[in-house]
Amino acid sequence: MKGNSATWLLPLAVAACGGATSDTGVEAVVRVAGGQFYRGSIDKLAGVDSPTVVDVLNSQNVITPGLEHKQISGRLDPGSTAVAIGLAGDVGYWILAADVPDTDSPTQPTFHASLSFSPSLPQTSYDLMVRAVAPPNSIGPATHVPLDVEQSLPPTGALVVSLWWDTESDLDLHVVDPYGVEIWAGHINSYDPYAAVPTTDAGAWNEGGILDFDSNSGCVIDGRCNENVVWTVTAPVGDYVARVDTFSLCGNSAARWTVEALLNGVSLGKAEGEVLPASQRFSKGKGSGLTALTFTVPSP
Amino acid sequence: MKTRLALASLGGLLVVGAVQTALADEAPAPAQAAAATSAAGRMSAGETTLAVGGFLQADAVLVDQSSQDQLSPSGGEPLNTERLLIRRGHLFVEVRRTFLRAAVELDANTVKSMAVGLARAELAAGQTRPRWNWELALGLVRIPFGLEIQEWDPDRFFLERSNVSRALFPGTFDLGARAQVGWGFLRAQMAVMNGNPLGDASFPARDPNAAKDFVGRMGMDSTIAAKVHVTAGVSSLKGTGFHPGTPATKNVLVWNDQNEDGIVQLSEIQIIPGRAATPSQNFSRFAVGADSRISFTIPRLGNSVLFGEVVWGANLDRGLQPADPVASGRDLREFGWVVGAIQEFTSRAAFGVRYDFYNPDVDASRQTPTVLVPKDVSFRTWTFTLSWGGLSHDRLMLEYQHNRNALGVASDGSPTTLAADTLTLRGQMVF
Repeated sequence: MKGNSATWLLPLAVAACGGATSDTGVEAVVRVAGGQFYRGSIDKLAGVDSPTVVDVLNSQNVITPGLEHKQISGRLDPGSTAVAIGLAGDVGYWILAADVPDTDSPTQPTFHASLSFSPSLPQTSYDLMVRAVAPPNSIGPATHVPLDVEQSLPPTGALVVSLWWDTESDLDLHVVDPYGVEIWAGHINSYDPYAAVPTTDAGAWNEGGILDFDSNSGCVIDGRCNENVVWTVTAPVGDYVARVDTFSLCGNSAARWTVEALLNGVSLGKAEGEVLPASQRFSKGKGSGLTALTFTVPSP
Repeated sequence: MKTRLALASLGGLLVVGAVQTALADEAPAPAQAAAATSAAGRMSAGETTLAVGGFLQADAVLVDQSSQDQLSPSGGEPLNTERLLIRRGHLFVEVRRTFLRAAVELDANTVKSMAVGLARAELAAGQTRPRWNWELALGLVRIPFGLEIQEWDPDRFFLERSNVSRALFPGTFDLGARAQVGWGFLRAQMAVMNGNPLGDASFPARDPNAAKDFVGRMGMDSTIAAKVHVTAGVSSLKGTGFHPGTPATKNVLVWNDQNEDGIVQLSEIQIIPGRAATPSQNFSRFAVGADSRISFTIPRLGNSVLFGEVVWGANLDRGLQPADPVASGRDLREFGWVVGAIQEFTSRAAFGVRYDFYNPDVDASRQTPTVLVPKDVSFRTWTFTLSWGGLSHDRLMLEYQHNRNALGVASDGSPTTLAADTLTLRGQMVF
């Protein structure tokens, strides 16, 4: 939020009252793309009986921390010019100008909002409130959309090698299996259909170690900051190497990472470390990255 | 007009430092040269004179309502603007030999990180006589349009130029050739320029098309009565802008998780077909303007200055909201004006007030749920500046800007001002 170092001078801004602020609202739990942020909880806004929200279209009531581009839309009472959207108890709410009506209800303005949620969202339930607004400042009653937060669960499988990190950087997990096959963003599955005995099993590809996601790829931040290589059926017996490659810190000064290998839910090893900007200079691709963890899958 | 003159010998050369006041009541001299060398150390050897000088402007932004202790979600740039910064640190070298003049000026600043770059580089030929003068200049030269743009930075009483000036001319220098003549009280300037000045939002100091911009100003500059000086003129610009084309794109598959179940379904996969490259296009742009400034002295109080400038243009915004009629599908007409007054209180202090209006798109509209309505997208700024040091080059300034704009969204969804008032302290010294 705005710095307070010189707020004692603000009374000089005698004519500055009114209007909107440049507050990005980035510390709000929910953020609305293209919306104007206003401080104060939406449930504390004094309201009147109209205008009302006719309906709200929402696909899922379950959200995950860091979720982006959750779409909600709906229709408003005739005369509405905007919609206020926010979570009850949040630090602020968002004003979004209303859109033109749909052809099937030509008198009712619509709204289309793209929501994103804080990556540090606690696992609890939220009340998303949507209120129609008409000039000059009539804020109608709230339509409630219950939202439940579901934490992302770690993937399950015979062998799971996971990498987490703490900043919005592009780190990549590389895992080398006992056959020397390296699984990484450029080779996401260790299954080799040409090296094995020919099979007619269409699901044979699932036997390999598979990278589930290339998080923050190319600094397109997705908020996950987590990658996993998973053998869902059985993992080859032998020695493994897990490496962490710093593709880019995406402008951050550092990233702290954790690598852990779980064999049927039992930890085979865990390592932690930190990468600095100097780590970005190494070549990228197969074989890149710093060795983070070595472990052995024993014979059954 | 020289208020200070110092001589010293250095290795057989003569060093001269001179400070000139702004209100020159003598033969018309090219404004460009006079401004840049108004305070410079000079070394002479034969017919060659070397002048070295510069100025420093250091700012402390005390309050900025738009400041945030956050990073920009899009670019990752700091949003905090309440800071200390070097706004301009200029150093120039100028050589004169007979009727030739060459000058190079560097600017170092910390506006966006640490930056050092070329601010001026010109090669000129000219003569100054009691009744007339002429000059031809080539290189990175000052744009001859209006009054504000041709004002040397330390001469300007307010911290920055008005919105309309900064929008249409994001930099005051552009690459080109300029001719200017003065005869008696008459002034005429004309230039052929690239059209992408320093500070241009798209191609600063580059020229993406072969067409050149033609800029000129005609006016007068005269002392009409005892200690009453008038400057006035009309300016115009006719040029060609550039709309960048796009490279060819590949086919792209996009997954839009419409039911938010985290599972890819065929109905959620959208194909965005690749597109062939689109060609770049040129478009025409223009501006006309009129300006006037009158300065006079009030006995026992000090100098007073009244000024005003008005500009009409089309497709010329290159700084604030860059105009691209090809992308927008229509011409973008700009209109702006500025008026102000400066009053000196003895030689120690001065106070100035300025109001500027700029509308980057007088035909703007917005879609409400039911009807398309005109939208006022203008920027209106009140500027109040207090100067300790009067109108001299070495001074301390405190400036409050009250900004009105249409960048925010009111609680009813209509456009409103996005708070952006600022209070800034500046120290300035010319050497």
